[in-house]
Amino acid sequence: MALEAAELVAGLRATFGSGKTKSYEWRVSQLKAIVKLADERQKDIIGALRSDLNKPEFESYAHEISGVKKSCNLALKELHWWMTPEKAKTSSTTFPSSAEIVSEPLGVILVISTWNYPFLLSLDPVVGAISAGNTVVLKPSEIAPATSSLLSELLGEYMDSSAVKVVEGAVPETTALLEQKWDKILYTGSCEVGRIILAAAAKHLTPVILELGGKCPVVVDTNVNLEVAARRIIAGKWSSNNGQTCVAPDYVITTKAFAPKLVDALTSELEKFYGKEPLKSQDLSRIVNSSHFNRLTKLMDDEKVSGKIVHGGQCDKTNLRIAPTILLDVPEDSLIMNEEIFGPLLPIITVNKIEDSINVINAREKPLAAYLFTNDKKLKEEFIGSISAGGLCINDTTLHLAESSLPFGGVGESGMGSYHGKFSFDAFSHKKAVLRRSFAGDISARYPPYTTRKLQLLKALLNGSILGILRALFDGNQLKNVARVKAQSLTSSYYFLVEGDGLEKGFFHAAVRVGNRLNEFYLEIDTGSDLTWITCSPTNIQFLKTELEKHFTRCLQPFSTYKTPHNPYKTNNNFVSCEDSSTCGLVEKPVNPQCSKQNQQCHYQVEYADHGSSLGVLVRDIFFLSSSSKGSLIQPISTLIFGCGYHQEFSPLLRPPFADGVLGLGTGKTSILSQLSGQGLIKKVMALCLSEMDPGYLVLGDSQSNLPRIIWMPLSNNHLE
Amino acid sequence: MEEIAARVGQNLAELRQNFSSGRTRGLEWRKTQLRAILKLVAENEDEIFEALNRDLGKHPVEAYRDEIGVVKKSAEYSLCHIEKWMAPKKGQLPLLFFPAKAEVLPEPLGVVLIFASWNFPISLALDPLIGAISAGNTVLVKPSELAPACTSFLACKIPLYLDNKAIKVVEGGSDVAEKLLELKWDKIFFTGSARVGRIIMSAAAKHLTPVTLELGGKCPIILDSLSGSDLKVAVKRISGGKWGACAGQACIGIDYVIVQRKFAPVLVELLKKCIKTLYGEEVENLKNICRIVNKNHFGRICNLLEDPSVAASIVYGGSFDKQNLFIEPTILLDPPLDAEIMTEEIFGPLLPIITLDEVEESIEFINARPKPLAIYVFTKNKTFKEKLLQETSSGSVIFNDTMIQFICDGLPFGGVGESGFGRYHGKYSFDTFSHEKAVLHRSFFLELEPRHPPWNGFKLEFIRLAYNFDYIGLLQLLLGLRRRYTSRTVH
Repeated sequence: MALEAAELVAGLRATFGSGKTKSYEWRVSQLKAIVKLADERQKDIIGALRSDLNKPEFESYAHEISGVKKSCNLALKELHWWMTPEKAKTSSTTFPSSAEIVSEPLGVILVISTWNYPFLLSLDPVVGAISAGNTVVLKPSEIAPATSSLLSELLGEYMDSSAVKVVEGAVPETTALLEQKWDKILYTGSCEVGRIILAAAAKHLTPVILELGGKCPVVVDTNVNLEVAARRIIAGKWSSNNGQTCVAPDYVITTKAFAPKLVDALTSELEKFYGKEPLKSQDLSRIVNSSHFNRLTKLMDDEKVSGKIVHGGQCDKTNLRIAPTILLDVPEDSLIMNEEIFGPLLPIITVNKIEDSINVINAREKPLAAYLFTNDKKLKEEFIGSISAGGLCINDTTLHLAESSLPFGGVGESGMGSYHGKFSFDAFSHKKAVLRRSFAGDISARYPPYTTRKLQLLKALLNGSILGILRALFDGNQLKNVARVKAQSLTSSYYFLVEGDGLEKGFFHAAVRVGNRLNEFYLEIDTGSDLTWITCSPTNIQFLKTELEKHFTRCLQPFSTYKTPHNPYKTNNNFVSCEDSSTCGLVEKPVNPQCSKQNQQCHYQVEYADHGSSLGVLVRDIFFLSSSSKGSLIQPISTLIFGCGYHQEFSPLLRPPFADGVLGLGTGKTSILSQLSGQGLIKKVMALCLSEMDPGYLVLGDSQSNLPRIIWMPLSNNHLE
Repeated sequence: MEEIAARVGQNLAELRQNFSSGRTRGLEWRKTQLRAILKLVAENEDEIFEALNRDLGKHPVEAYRDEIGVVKKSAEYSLCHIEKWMAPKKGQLPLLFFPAKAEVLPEPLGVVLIFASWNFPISLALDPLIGAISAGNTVLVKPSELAPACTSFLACKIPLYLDNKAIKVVEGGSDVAEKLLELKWDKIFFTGSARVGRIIMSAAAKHLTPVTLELGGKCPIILDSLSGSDLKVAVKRISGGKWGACAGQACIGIDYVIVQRKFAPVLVELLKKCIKTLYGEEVENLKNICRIVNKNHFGRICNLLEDPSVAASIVYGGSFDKQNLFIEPTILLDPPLDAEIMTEEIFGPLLPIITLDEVEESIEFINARPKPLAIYVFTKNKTFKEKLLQETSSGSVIFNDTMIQFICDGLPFGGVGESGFGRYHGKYSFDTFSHEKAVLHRSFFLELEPRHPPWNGFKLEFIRLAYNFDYIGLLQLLLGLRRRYTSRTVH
């Protein structure tokens, strides 16, 4: 048997190695095959489930067949999207780089399923494994033999048998399978077997999903619509395979005073559903086999609960049927309260205050599901906050399972890992991290020989402090006089006041006044980029409806926008046209693929090394500049072109900049420095004086009379090497 | 032995009680602890440098880059995002369930056990701790006894800065680890070898405890035949990744290089030059390189070189300083593939270069071995990049650089196959230590009759249409316009 299992896995590994299961087309064809088999062989499936569990056709269809079809259809609809690599953020530390997360199949999957929903719980995980591009072995439960052999037949007939196999059998077969190396195992069943599976998987370092069960509680508050609550409890308990469901309500907790009312409501609804002779109802599943039947009757025969049965209790040993049974006030140390019931018995525990129920639940192992019926908002919140369970459902039972946007899986004793919907795809995929770098942008601080300056630079980089980076790159003392020399004619100089929260925090900004109303803005000083932009209000702007904007909102979504110190700049029909190529053509990253109309605006997009970015349109407006280092003597100097940024983002790694925009002082033609010198107003030089006490200043141009002694030096272009 | 068991048992009981009290669940507690970690590393920088120097001879710049900086960045990133991570995620509900609301609510798992490793003793202890705290768990950290100075640093400083009722450090060796593994934890996070990983997972199986295993493996680097400045950058990055991160004692460290046969001589020459500038010549004069952690590992690495056919393949280095546990950066050209150096993870400063006729053959070479934690590829060939991405499997793939995936918070960090499972960093750390609880809210009104027995044909047809989300069909059915499902009569 072990040999067979080894051959089986080797065969599937060869198929996986050939790469055919990785293609989108293969996955789709297999998913479609499952839909087809569920459609075409519906009668056979319903018949098998009748034979294994006497499952009513309605339940077979509603719970099992449509469940599988729904999973396939969702996967078919979404698969393309699921398979697309996910873009990931990169940080300034790894700049320039791009990162993505690629979902790749794990390889060969083992699904060991169970007997209570033998069709659904076998194929639902297979759907996930196939969607993710794996090869699979399904081992259905021998306790539901008709469904097991039907699955073996159907999968062999409808699906690619080189990649999807069914192994029927019991413990010896399962043991042989578990000796093999798998890339993932999904097991649905009991804790006891779960431990064995996990231990076997440990030998091969195989990750495991365990879908176990546990005692799922239902708390019923006193203020509820009793009829609806009773019906929904019945729907989850008896109308779901007669209690043989991992998420079925196991026991009910309610107040002492309310318990009789609840029992009455349950009794009367049960009668409406299953008639006076429930043992004869065709709408109720039977118990799966005699050993489970005996286990359940033993729970009822426990002397601690004898006399506690308030409804039902009838059994039919020959047909393995047990009627819906309610037990009131069973002691906590009874058998029935110490194992998962997994059958049609429903004990009710009473408490003095409904809030006490939370302690009752938390004193036990974490269940797969917990239910609460209440109209009390506070209780609801407390319940959600303090009950740990695989899933919670408020004012209903089991319905959260049908919801593919919710993960299905346990916690603690109820299992580990989850599936359903996209979670299934993820469960059987490895999320491969892919980082792409170019050969540029090497920071020498990464490499030995190590120096104190490299340490400083590293700290600054990891802090995302641009000023710190500057300080580390230049000598701390020289930073006061960083300057650039590149021109000839001497004219005059203009000053911006430079303020900030000191070297401590590393924020400095230049105060700028723009427009007829002399509105003030704080701009970050940046010698590394050209375009100056100011946050502006998005009125009158023709937004870009291009891929680019989508990219902006989707991929960079976790970046947050920030509050600016001043009101946004308001445009005044002073847009630069996209046809004005002498201006618009100069934007670092032109984003105007089709410029057709005269009045079309000129868009720009700038991204910075720290991963901040700005998207906007170009405008013209008057800049008021000061010709005194104290910031006085403000005059309208020139009309300059700058960006009106309507969509800014900054890296969450950094503190939000305390600024309205960026003052670009690079060498390019759009820089303020170039614009002013181009108009013949200044020499193309600038100096920055930072002071830890007084406001410092930024001076554009060179007017010796006003300047203190400055040592001029060219600004390094290669500043990170 | 008994005493150890009693001590760890008591620790666990206290952690469990403090978890149940709910104190670790609040946002404020989590933030306070994260800030405390930042404070811990900021105020004790010099002591950390000192401890790392004692345990591994790590230079402060390397220590800052790989340990303090990593912790600082992770803690800050968490602080920045934790509120968003904690918020429930809304699910989309089908109309059929109306009125209802679905959400996924992350909740802490409970008491978490973290086994850290000795090669990055500070960051591999504190980085997972940041994740566990962010998710609101109580934590017991067991640092590695092989880095005693760092372990005792953590053991004495963590209680001073962090909430010592909820976060504890246990010192000790395998005896303590064994006792810890007998207890029931809600999650075990382990960084180390595959051998110990198996022991951890088997022990966890008894208590159905989920584990995250951060293992290693032989991480290959594929170097395409580059030229000019690209080649220089590549060689520098390879040298930095191999010898600059704890002297090759790193789980994502480069294990071996694959190049085209005719390209090997060029590479060897450039690597030699690079080693000389970065680390210096002669084993006594080495600088900026970590030492080997202890005599055992030193012996193990030296043993790898003892095989005569391996020794014959050494083209650079190979000398060592037994007294101070230094091994010179060593390059081997085409050592035999069945020698231990090519079958075991090297975890030291030896770099085998494997030559192939065509660089594309590397895919087959890699696939013939267990899945590594990382594959590094230096190439400009786009088709090759995509082919490699499609056809190999590894924890991560990095194009044109080495090691930096570790500091990229947007990417999950974790292995596959023999290199482990589970992932962390950034949001993934939070998820690793959280349970995603599915919550469905319903109201009492609008009860759909077809959900309940007695079953009949009408109800079956209703469900059939509902599952197909055929709302028009449903309406027709309710209005009696649609022929009922008649394949079989149901009572």
